[in-house]
Amino acid sequence: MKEELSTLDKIIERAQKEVDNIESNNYTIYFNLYDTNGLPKAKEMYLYQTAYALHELGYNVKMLYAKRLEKNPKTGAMVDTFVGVKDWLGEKYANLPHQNISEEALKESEEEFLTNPSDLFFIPEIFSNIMNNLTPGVNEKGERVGINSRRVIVSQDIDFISDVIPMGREWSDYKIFDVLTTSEMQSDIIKSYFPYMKTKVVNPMIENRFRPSSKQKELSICIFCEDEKYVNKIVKPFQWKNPLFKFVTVKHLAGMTQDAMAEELKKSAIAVWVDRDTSWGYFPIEAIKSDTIVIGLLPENVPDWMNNEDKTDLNNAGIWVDNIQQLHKLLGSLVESFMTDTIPDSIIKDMEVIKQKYTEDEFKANVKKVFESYNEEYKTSLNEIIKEVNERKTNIKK
Amino acid sequence: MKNNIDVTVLLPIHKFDNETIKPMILDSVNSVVDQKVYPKELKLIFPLEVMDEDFNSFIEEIKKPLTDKKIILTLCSNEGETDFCSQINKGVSEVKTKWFSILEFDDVYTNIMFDNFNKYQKDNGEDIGIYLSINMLYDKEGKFLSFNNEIVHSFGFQDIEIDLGFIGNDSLSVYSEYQMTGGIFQTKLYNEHGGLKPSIKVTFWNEFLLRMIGKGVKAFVIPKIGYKHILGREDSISDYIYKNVDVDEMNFWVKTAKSESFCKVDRDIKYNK
Repeated sequence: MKEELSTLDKIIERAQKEVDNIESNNYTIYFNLYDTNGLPKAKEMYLYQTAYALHELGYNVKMLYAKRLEKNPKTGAMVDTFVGVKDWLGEKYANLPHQNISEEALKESEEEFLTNPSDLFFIPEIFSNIMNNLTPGVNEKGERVGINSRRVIVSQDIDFISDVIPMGREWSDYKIFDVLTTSEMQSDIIKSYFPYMKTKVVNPMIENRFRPSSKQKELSICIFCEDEKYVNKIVKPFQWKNPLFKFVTVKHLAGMTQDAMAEELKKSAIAVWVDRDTSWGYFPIEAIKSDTIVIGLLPENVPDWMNNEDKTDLNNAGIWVDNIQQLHKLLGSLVESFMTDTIPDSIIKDMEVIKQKYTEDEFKANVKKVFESYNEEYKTSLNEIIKEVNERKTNIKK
Repeated sequence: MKNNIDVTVLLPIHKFDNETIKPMILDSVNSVVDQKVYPKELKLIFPLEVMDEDFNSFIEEIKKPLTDKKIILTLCSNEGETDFCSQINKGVSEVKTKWFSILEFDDVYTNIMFDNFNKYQKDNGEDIGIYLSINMLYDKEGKFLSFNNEIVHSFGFQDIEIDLGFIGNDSLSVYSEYQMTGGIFQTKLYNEHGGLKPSIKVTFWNEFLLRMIGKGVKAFVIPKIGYKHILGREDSISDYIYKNVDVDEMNFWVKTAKSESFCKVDRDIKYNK
């Protein structure tokens, strides 16, 4: 009985320690990511923005990547070639703490990567392999594997889920039951796939750099397509079908830094967007916030923000078509509307509604709320354990 | 009600009749009255010989709609040289506003012209001396032909360091087909660098633009349709060129425009075959 009581005391002690860790902010929030090699990636941006918001709120955050070291041909030393996001997203994000957790990087740095149960791992949906490696359990040799920290999947693109989870498996196999996602629409789809998953939604934010210019618009069209093949499919037929508008300058924004993109959107009158697979769509909202009229192909899963308030129809914040042939013609009409000051009021009105949403402040408040709820849930579960163990102790003593 | 903007519209007329000319001028005047933002003044420039009973009653007819919009109507009669350039120079010599615009009597502004001038001018401050708009060109039967002045909004048309919409000095040597009527000009700069040169036939606008830009005056094309111009009207400059100017003479005037653009004064150039 004495031995059992001692074990129970240890359990209570450990659980209490984790509660104390949460209350004293003595834990780390990790974000798994991959190196974008300096190329802009919306999904990485969301992770960095979330991490930065938490950093500003006083949490300890760390960005984790696994990248093989490369041998410097001159010195022979092994070097980390992680490029990161400084060039396209900005220094404040690049300055967040980072760590290379590849086996050879950890070996080289002679640094052990230790985790606590109260640490929180955010794992993007594409990293099924990481989810698998972190799954707590015991291997064939009887050794403990994985980690016993809190783990949350970050899901930004519904297609990725089916693309990367191996056939016959699902998220519960990785013993992960929490998902952070970017829209109610995405949350509903996840719940329909995995009813046991707990979802929380934090809409992405549009940074303040995307704002209207105080100057009048120039007659140019910005184009941003997730798949490059759409650029030619749009620009050339637009010119063939509207030869009078051949003179209109078209700027291809793919690969630009966020600052450069913000400057171009400020100047241009019209933005064209194609990303059929997205569940969100940063670019059109960035354009709207820059007072630039958007015309685009509807994504397969229509993002929440494109709907009107009662979700019965699309709003008028942009001009949405489901056929690329319609897009060429409407783009011509839009150019003409700009040149004659006849952009419909309904578009301007609905753009104003979107402009008020997805702000940095709103995002930060949502991040705070969601992360506090993760901590509260964790503390509640630990306190329940402590209560149950104490009851067990009382029963034993009786 | 917003204050009228500091622009005088110059409307040169070289003849008048009730049947053909009056309806055209009425359309032109109405296009001033129909603006979203109004200019301060409309100045009719005409040779003395057009003044008759019909003309006087026409003046009375247009007074009310202009007055309703607080647009002052002024009259400027000229004797002697009644060609387009001389009429404009005479009109500008009487302009008291900071800006003036030229409206041909058979052309019209679109109703957004002055509103957009007001907006784009606020962006650019004192920097710019000439504002043009994208113009729509029609034939005399009223059929739409093409845009004009739009070329400067095409990336790659001119040097990369010149922003979209600005007319660059270098590009003027390869392209000079700008439609200048309907444009809005800074009065002080027009007078400072010399106005239009009546002795330069055919290419006087090209010479003027080369001279102004050569002196550092910036010219910007507002990316909006602000003016509708008819090409080839009987008795118009384009009609005169079509009927009377051969290739040799055209080349002469093109070269003359370039060479004379370095000179402020009109040196009474004559074409000899």
